[in-house]
Amino acid sequence: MRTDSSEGRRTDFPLLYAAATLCLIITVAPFAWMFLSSIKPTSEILKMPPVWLPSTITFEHYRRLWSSAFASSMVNSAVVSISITLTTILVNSMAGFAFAKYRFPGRERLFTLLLATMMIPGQVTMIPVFILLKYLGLLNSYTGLVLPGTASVFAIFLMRQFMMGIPDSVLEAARLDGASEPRLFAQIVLPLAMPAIATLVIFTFMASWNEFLWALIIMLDESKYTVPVALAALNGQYGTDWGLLMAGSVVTILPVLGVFLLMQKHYIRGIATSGLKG
Amino acid sequence: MAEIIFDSVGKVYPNGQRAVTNASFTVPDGSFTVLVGPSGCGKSTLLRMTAGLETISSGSISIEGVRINEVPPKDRDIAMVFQDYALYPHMTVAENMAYALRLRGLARDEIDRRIRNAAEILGLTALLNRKPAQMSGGQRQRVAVGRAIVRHPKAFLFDEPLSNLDAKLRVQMRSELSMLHKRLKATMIYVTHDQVEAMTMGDQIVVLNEGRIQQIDTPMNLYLRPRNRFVAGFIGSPAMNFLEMRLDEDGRTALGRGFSLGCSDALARALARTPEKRGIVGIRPEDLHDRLEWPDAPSDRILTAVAVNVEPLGAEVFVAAAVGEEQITARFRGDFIPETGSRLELVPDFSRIHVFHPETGERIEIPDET
Repeated sequence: MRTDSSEGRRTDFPLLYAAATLCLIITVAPFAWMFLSSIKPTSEILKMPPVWLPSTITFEHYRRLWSSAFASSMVNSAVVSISITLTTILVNSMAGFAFAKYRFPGRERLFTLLLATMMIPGQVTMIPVFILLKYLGLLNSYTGLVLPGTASVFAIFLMRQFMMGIPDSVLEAARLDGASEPRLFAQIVLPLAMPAIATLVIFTFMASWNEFLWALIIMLDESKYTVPVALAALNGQYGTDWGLLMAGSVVTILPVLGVFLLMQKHYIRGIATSGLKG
Repeated sequence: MAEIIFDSVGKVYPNGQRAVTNASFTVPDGSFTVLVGPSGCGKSTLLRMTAGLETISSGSISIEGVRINEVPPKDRDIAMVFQDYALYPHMTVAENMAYALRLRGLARDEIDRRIRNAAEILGLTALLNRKPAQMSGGQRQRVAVGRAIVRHPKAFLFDEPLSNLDAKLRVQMRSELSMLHKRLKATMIYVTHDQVEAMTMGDQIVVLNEGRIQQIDTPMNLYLRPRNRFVAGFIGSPAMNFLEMRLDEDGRTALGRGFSLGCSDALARALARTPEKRGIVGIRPEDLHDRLEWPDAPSDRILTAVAVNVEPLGAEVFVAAAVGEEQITARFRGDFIPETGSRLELVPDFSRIHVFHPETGERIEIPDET
């Protein structure tokens, strides 16, 4: 009797598994190299032929990183990214809810128009926005960094699509139960939209944490640099401190990884088990 | 508890679709009123206008004498049970029931008391900490009802609450809802497309078709004296047989398509009132009897038919039979099972026959036989 066991499957596709393993190695290798380099003595980093494992493990690079301006850029980035993520969630989930559940004249046309703006690359609007922020006196400020990214068409689209799946009757039941619209949004819609929110948190946090160009343009004081800008600054004009750069890179990845691990439960669960259907 | 008055209520959707036209009726305080009709007849729209989920295009609805057209749903003090239950998926049963009470700022112990009480009535006590996804359809239905009763609202609205349940559970919930109504003595409006639910549960039934009220009456009156052909065909299962017939010149025989039937005096007089003495004669399947049952029937008052299809259900038998060019359905006791293709002699009960106008479909009163 033939059984469809997992053992059988593994031996069925040896090539597939070999290819998958190869892909895994290609993906993970740079990260492994980065991490290992960050704990190697400087002399071993550029040694030829290359050595993977350090002869002695050192945290020297991390110590230097911590005492440099990079530490304060971590704080800057945290403040900026958390602000962007929170405002993005709030603003766009409200917009998405309106597009998904309120009937108003021109709703579809307005939404199409919003979607159309996704075709305009960010670089095109960068200079006009820069000039606008200059007039508003928001250059070299966190507000100037956070504000332009707050309303995101992608985020509105994501929230709208998800919220369209929330049955109208649930909202109507809440209205009949006496909920006002803000309360309905906060107590019924947002909890039900958790999978979409988790997805958006991951995307937004990652994007804002890694944002380089805009942060470089708008922030003039070194004390206000965010992590990607500070990281780039480690890459000196005449020479690069590779140990420091690798240590900085490792530290940069950690918060993003943390957010993903925190949110993945909701992210993966999705709508499948949210129990909306009868 | 409250009386609800619908006064010339109309609804036209923004796309021009007319859902309800000039609906006027009263839901007496403490009554169980059923709105029934085929899908798209405007029954759900009427209910949603009562709840405040749809605007009222014309006319007015008042509860306890107060016009509520402009009152937002949350201030109408009405509870609604939805077809898909509409439970809050992220809340437990207890939280679902407590939600409306918390919004009203009721004291914690009062909320607990009401939830315990409702849970006891509905048999939900063991499930209070479950989430909706962990429950069966029938249990969710009970929670939806529980969420309504804890509020002690002025009126309960039910929008096809049983249509997602399987047949057996539906029968059980039907009687439970009826018992609940007797216990609470609350005003309830119940929407359904199922005439059996309407007949078994309602004190008063409002039959709707294409946005217009066809008849407002008690279940038995709807059955015995339907006001038009639509109501006659909608109420009762299997549906009433309709035979187009013309009164012959002798004034004693009705001619159908390919058959004739001797008339009672009353039927002859009723047919005589129609244009060209032509009318739609309605006979319910249960009012057709086999001649063996009614051996005294005069020989000219018999419909000779051929059994086309026989459906024995145990307690009763439905027989589809060809009479001339028409097909009719008869309903017999379960112990009489004719064979397909066999010849039947059917005797209509002339005291329970109906006549409708051939164009308007309105009922033509049959005078009492004297």
